[in-house]
Amino acid sequence: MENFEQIEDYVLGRLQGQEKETFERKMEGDPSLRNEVKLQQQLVEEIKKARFAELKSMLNHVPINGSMVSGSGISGAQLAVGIAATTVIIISTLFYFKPWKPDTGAAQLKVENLLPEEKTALTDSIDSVTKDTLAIASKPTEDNNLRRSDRKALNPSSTVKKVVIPKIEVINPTEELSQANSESGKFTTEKKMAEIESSRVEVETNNLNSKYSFHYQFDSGKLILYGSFDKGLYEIIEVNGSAHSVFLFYKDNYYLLNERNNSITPLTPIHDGVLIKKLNEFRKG
Amino acid sequence: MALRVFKSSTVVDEAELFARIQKGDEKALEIIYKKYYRMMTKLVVTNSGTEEEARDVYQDALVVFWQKARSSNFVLTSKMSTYIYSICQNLWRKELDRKKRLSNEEKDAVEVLDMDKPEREKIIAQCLDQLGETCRKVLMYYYFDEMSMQEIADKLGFANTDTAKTKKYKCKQKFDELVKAQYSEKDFLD
Repeated sequence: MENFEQIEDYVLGRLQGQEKETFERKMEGDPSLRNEVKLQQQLVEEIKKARFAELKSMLNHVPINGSMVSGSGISGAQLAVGIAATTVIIISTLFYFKPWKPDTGAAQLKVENLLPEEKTALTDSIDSVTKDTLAIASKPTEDNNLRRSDRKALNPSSTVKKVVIPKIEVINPTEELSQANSESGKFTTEKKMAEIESSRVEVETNNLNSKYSFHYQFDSGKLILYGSFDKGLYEIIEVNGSAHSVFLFYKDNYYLLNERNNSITPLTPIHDGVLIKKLNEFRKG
Repeated sequence: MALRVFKSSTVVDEAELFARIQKGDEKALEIIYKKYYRMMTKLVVTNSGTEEEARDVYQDALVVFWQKARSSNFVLTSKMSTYIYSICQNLWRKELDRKKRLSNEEKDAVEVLDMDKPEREKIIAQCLDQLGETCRKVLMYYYFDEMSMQEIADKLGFANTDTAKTKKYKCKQKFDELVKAQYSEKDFLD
């Protein structure tokens, strides 16, 4: 039992300094211990591989509905109104952007490219993660490699010798939305907001207050919409970038909802075409 | 009746998700997977990868992240999405390098060298399967997820940590025996 524990501690990297050295010296002079350690390393490696594969398989079965998940059931009438609204938006967007005319720069919205040299301390540390942590990941990666090689072998077109390795286009994944926002000049606090808090958006409508006919407020994480919202279709859209942003879509307009806004605030439609386009994409899923 | 359509109403705070990951909550991993799916797969797709490769890389990256987050000395120094993104980036770089290497002549040599390895792995994997579900889980949680005995006991419904510890010991012993019964030690050594 003691020997078993010591071998396991060594295999799992728990032996340090003097203890480790002593154990390694012991191994040098004891071939059967050396063999046992090697065997145990292989067993542990296989256990890890099995778990890696299990988690991967679990993820593979997760349905992906895009960045947004539909919530409660929608009736036929709601769906019809939704489709009609979406059609109007698409048509107005088309007329707004006139894609049949030469592009004047809307493509920048797609991604923000950073210089490839822009390797941060983080990416350096990740380098070591993918090297070291993947005592297992290297295993599954090997598996994947094998799998990919197999695929390659089966595919005659992939036997072409020359492989052009593209320069990795580094995309800043989290800036997309906040960049669009900052262009509108209104939402400079977006990033900070996302770091502070974001929770499930519970919505309540209030049409009893004649003073507030088209307003909103966040109260203890709950969104309160003031006005006759029940009479029409509205959508709450949450975008999960680095900045967590909440938008209201109502009667063909988008409204940014500042989650830190505890006071009752009038709803002001967004006019930033780039942002609207992005939101339309999100809505279409 | 209110006419409402909620989209993405299952947003959970990043810090909360990370805390759940650290506790070994697989549901949180699924939420993260959905949450960043587009963002992460875009990296591969916009860099000469296929949709399938993108998914593969992203899934690998998330499992790596899971394992890192589970280790006791791990400190997340950036946003979770940035961290995962960087793992994706590295894995995809490696994959591109691998493709490049495969196009070279040493490709054949590399493949021939390790003919026995998959067979050996297959043998051990089969023994692991023979252990039964509970034993497999105990061992995987212990060695991969680095769960404490308390966590294993909670997760698998054992009475206490002693039960978990005994179970782990016995399962490992059984695993060893199964492997050794079928093959002598030298079969596993290089």
